[in-house]
Amino acid sequence: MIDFDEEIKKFKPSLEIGDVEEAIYDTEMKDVLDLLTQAKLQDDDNNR
Amino acid sequence: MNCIRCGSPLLIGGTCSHCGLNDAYVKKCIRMSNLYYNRGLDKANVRDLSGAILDLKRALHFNKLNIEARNLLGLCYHEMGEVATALSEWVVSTNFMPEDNDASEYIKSIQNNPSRLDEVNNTIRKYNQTLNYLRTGDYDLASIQLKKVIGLSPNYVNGHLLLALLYIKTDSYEKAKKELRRVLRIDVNNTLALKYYSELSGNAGLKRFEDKDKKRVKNYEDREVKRRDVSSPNSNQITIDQYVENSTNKYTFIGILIGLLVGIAVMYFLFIPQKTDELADSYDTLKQEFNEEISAKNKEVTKLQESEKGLQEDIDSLTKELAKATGESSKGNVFDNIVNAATAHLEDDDEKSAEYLLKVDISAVDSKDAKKLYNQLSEIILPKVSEDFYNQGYSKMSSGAYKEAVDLLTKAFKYDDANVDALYYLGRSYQFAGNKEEAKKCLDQVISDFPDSRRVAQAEEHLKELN
Repeated sequence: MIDFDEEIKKFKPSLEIGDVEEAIYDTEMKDVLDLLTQAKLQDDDNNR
Repeated sequence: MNCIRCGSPLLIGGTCSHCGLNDAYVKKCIRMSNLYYNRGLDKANVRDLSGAILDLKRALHFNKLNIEARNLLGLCYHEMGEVATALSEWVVSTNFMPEDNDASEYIKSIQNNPSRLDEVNNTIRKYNQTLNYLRTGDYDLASIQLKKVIGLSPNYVNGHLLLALLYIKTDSYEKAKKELRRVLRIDVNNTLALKYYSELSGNAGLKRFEDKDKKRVKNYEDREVKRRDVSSPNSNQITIDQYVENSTNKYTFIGILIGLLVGIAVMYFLFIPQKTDELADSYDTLKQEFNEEISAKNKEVTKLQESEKGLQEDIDSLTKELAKATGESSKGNVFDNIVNAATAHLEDDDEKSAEYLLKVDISAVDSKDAKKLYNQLSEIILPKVSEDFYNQGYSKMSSGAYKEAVDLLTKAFKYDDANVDALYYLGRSYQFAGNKEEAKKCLDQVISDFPDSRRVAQAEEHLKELN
C-alpha cells in the first residue's frame, strides 16, 4: 500500500528561477577527471 | 599532440604537461561519458526522461565538459516541467562553452518571453506552496493549488504525481490513474508513477498500460525524434511543451469531428425515423378522426332523410285530414245554404232564397232529409223566381232597354234552366243590342237543347238573319 506521508517526503521543493545562480555556485562541479587530477597531485606531493 | 582535456602539450608517455593526467585515462573517461550520453539520448528519444536524466548525469560525472550531455539534461528537465533546473544546466553549459552553444538559444527562448518567465515562477511558487499545504494537512487547498500548477504547466511531472497522490489519499482512484497516465505519457518510465499505478491497478493493469504505452512511444519516436535531435550542435531552435499542446489540439479536433459525425448519425438513425413515425402516426390519427367524422355525418344524413320521410308522411296525412276537414266544412256550408234558403223563403224573400239554393252542391250531401228539403225548395222557389226575372226582362226588352233585359233574362235562365222562353228572348235581346255572337250562342242552344219547343223555328229564322 502507498504510505501517503512517506511518499510526500520524497517530493522536494522545486528550484526557483531567482535561486538558479546560487544553486550553480553551490554545486560541486567535479568529474572523474578532476578527481584523478586531484589524486595525481596528492600522489606527487607525497612522493616529494 | 595536445591534451584533450586542457589542450596543453602532451609529454613523452602521453602525460599532459599541465594537468598531469595520462591521455589514455582522459580518453577512457571521455568515451565513458559519450557512452552514457548516447544511452541518455536514446532514452530521451523514447521519452524515458527519468532514465535519460540518470544516464546524462553519469555522462557528466565522467566528463563535466560534455556540453551536449548537459544541454540534453537541461532539455529533459525542461520537458518534465523543471524549468529552473534546466536553466541552471544551460547556464553552466554556456559558461564552459560560451560560443556556438545551443544552450544560449534555450536560455534566450525563456528569458526573452517575460510572460513565460512569470508563468514558470508562478508554477514553481504554487508547487512549493502545495508541498507546505500537504505537510500541514490542508488537502483541499493543496488540490486547488495543484490544479492551478498543472493548468500553468501541463508537463509538470511532479505536479501530476502529487495530485495523483492526493487523489489516492481521498480514494479517488480513477482520477489518480488519469493523472498517472498523464505522467507516463510525459515520462514513460517514471518510477513513482509506475509504482503508484501498479498499486492501484495491480500487475495486470500495469502490463496493459505498458503495452498500450509502447505503441504510443513508437508513434512518438516516428514523429518526434527529428524535432528533439539535441545531439546536433547545429540545431538553433528549442521546442518546449509542444508535444502536449499539439496533441491536445489534434485530439480536440478529432474529438469535435467524431462528435459531429456521431451527432449526424444519431440524427439520421434516431431522430429522423422517430419524426417520420410521429408524422405517420399523426397522419393515421387524423385519417381515423376524419373517417369517424365522415361516418358520423353519414349517419346524421341518413337520420335526417328518415326524419324527412316521416315528416313528408305527416304532411301527407295532415293534408288528407285537411282535405277531409275542408270537405266537411263545405258540407257544413251546404247545410247552411239550404237552411238559409229555407229561412229566406219563410221571410218571403224568394230571390235571396234562390241565390242560396244555387250555391248548394247537392251531390256532396248524403243526408236524405237535406236532399228532400233542397228539392222541395228548388221546385217551389226557382221556377217562380225565374218566371219573375223573365217577365221583368221581357218587359225591358219590349221597352228597348236591351242591356237590362239581358241581365234579367240571364238570371231567369240561371234559376231555371228549363225556361226556354227566357233563353230565346235572351238571344233576341243580344241581337237587338247588337251582340251577334252571344245572340247566336243563345239561339243555337235553344235549337240544340230544346228541339221540341215551338221556339226552335223562330230561333232558326233569327239565326238566318244574323248570318
